[in-house]
Amino acid sequence: MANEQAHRLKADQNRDFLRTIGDGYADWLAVVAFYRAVHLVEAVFARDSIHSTDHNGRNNLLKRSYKPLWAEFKPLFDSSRLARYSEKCISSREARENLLGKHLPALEAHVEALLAAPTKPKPVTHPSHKKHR
Amino acid sequence: MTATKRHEATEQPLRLHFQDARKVLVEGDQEDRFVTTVREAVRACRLAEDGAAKAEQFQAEFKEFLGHVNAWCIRHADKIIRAYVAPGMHGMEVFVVTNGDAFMFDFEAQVTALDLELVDAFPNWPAHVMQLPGEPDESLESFFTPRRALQVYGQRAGASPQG
Repeated sequence: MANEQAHRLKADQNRDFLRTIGDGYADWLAVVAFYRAVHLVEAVFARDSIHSTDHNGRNNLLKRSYKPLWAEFKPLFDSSRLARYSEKCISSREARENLLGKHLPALEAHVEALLAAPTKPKPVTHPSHKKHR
Repeated sequence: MTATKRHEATEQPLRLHFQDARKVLVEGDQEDRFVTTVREAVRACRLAEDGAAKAEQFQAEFKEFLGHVNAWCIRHADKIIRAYVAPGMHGMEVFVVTNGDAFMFDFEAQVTALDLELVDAFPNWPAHVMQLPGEPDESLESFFTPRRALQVYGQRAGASPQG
């Protein structure tokens, strides 16, 4: 199970790779943007001691507990799914304008704000907290 | 004479009391028989009743779910040509089929809003809403099988405008 730092490193690697993708590969722009998004939200989950096991688990967590993240993550998830299984539905211009220019930066800003916030203290079990009968 | 036959003969209800320490012989539909306590028989009756009530509730919620999606599609009829609901691996998938051959980024905020509405309004029916460009028609098959899905909005694919 990767920790926050490991997910952030993967997200950074995906950002670097995104910069190398040319306009002839709109599908890969969408797919790599989504992979970066996955590692960004997984970094937040790791910070909150939550671990998702698959796409569905991650999506459900985002929908129920991280709605502002979901609003930006969902277009990245759906457009990458479409790019993988359908032809010519997303152009490079649209991918750059909407995914790289809008949803991914908005997601990054939400994630940075969450990761910068102090973590909630975990409940401590101390012998003095045990119930006396 | 069995209890059922005696019951038919007298037309009196067969009384089972929760505190009754006796045993009952239950005969199933396929002629299997088992002996159980009255207490367990009463509990089984309660569970069966609860199960039926829950199934009815699930069905009613699902009808409401479909109605919600349909009403939403009607409000966005300028962009949507058809909509389907299909079972996915972990819940329902709602496919909103849009005009043209491109993913409509300017429509995605409304699609996401529907997705979140469904999460809050129908917790028993987890769903994911996705927009799919309607052209080419056969591209839908990459995501679901239209003939096996519930079409909740629009004309059937290939139908003439006159129906």
